[in-house]
Amino acid sequence: MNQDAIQENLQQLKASEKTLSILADGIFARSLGDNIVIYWSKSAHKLYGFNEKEAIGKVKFQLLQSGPADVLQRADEHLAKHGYWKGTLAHKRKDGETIYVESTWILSKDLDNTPLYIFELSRNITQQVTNRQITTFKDEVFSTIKRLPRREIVLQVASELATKGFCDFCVVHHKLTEKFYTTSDKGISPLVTEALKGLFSRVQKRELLYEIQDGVYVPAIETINENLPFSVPGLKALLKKSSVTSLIFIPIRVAENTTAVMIFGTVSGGNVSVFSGNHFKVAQDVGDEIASRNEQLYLQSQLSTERYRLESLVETVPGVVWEAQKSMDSGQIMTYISKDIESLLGYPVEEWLSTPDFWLTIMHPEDVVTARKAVETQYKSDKPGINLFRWKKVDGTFIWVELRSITVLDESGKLTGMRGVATDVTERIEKDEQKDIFINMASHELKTPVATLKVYAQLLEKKMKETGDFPFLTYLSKILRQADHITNLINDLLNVSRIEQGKLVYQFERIKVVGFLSSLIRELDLLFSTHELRLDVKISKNIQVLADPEKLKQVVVNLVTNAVKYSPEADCVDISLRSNKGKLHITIQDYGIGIPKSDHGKVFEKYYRSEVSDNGTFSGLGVGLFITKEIINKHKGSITVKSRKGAGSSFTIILPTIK
Amino acid sequence: MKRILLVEDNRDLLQALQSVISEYGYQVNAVHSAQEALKEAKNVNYDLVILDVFLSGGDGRTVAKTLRRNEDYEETPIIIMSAVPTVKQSSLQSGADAFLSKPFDLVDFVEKIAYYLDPHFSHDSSRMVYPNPRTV
Repeated sequence: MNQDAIQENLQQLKASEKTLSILADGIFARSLGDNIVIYWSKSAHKLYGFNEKEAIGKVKFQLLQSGPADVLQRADEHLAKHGYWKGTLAHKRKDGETIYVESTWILSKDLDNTPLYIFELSRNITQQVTNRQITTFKDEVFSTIKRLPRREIVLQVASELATKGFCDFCVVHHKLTEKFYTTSDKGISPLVTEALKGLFSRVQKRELLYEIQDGVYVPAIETINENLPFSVPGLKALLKKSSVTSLIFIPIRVAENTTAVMIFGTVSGGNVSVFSGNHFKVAQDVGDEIASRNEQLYLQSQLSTERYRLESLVETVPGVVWEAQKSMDSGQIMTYISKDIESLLGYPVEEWLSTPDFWLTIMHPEDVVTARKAVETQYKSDKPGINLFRWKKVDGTFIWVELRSITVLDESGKLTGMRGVATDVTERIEKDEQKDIFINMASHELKTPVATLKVYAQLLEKKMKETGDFPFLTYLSKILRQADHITNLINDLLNVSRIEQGKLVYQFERIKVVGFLSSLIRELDLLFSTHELRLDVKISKNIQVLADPEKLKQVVVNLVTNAVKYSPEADCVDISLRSNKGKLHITIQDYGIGIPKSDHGKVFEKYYRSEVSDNGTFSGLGVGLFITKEIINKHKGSITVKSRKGAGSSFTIILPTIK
Repeated sequence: MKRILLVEDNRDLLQALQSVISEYGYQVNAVHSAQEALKEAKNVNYDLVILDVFLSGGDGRTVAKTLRRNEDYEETPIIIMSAVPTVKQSSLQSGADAFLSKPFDLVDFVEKIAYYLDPHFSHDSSRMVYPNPRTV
């Protein structure tokens, strides 16, 4: 190799250094074969930190720790073949920082084409490369965030960022578990771990670390105290000792709470050397992404918990839970029906959800009109409803169903549909039917003998009157009175049973109160020889009420009979008719033994008997006033009692009048 | 003489009612089953039919319905009586003109018969008898 020729050539290169510096940030030359630096420009000094003295004579690849290796190999091949190479290399500066350069290698030759040396022109492209890298990190990490379950996200992201070279290490401090994770495979000194453990142990008790709202960027460890919102004595020294060069603190905030803190760090001699503002921005973005994904997953888990809770509730409810939406043509379409409906009737859930008014199509034809009407009424009244009807099963048989429902309103209060529970009540209805049959039979069996007895007694009475056999007529009238008493007792029992089943049937009609009650009282007056029934009318003859005449008669007879029964010493009962504000007041006043005040609340209860009736003086089942109150309630009226022990009782029925 | 068909499965009651009706000057045929009632109704054209609801081997309401389908009984008054008050509605729907709840006072029984058979009968409203008006 011609050393003179090389030196001469290098002189020319040095002379044009200024011109060349326009093209490159750093220029140097190395020898062929052993790659020893033979020329080191001022710009190279500036770019790599090594001065001319430090650089000359060194093997270039050792000096700058060039890489990556595969690129270098390709570069050598290209250079040998074509006499030049251009590409991106990573070099290490004197201070340990990695810089990326766009490097151009040129094989310098003399005039007769003999290769002399290689000179390199380096343009610093670190900023572009790291930005590009960081953006790549971001894209990759974001896709990781999207596919992971909530609890794994933070750790996985930390690990990924560290292994891919975003940072030299990443530590995650988890608030709930107070765990300290490090993610590093770059041979980070245990001192780093120690230093950060020290940080946590010092600040976590006051939860200071969790106060870092938008994250903290510590570009150089010397500035840590001014950048952290809290101070930890001795921390700076500890971190410096463990060769940490920069730090980024990123909080993971879920639903307004910081649940974890990610700490990214660089160490001297590491992959990254020092974080840029760009790193911080990316770290913040990653933190935000983790947080929002966490929040999303958290809400989903809350929703599914809520849903699970509702569904398990729905499963335990006896019956089928359903929800229906009112559709435009005033029909209804199911939006939900619990799976139980399939075992109950046999139709698949899909059929319920896809066929409008499916519940009506499988209903017993006799029940459809009533059911439709009930729904319409409920939509108007907005009150909870109970419907009873028959549904046809897939096998063609019918079951009785009790449908309880409430109307559903949207946020603006507009009626959108209904929801409720459907229960199979076939067994109950069948039992009720059996009970009905039994009651009817018992009624028939008990009353027929009484009817026969009564007819014979009356026949006998008639005969005795005709033959003038008067002395024994009183015996017959006693027989007849007892027969009536038995009839009343049987009727009371039947009525109680019907009231309990809600089956007491009413047939309302307009009744002129004065005429109706006058003739009833006159008739009753004939029955009671011991008491005079005095009727005091202070209302117009035209006042009418809407009532079931037989039931109203039953009520008045019952109250007058009680009045006579419980006033054995008295000789009259006062009945008065008054009206007040559109209401009719019928008062029955006796002058008998009265009811103690403590019993006033109980008199209308079933099986109530006054203490005096218990000693056998007054017979009865204790259901008369219970039935009376039920009947009056069904007439939209009320009944009250005023009484004192020993001072008589007065019962007042209040009924609405009609025009 | 007006003819009455009386159907009641309690023989004691049947006998008593039969004698009451006869005393008031009506001709009465007393039977105690649904089958007999329908057979009798075919043989003789009665002016009034009195039916109990729960008969051995049948239901008075079914008898009433069957009679109503017979041309001869389209307008014949039918009284149904029962010890079960809840069958009143279904009795009137089956075609009966009136319902009598057992036990009853003989006065009411006789009055009800007279209402349908005696053109000179005047109804005493104070006795609170409410015969169902003829619907046909």
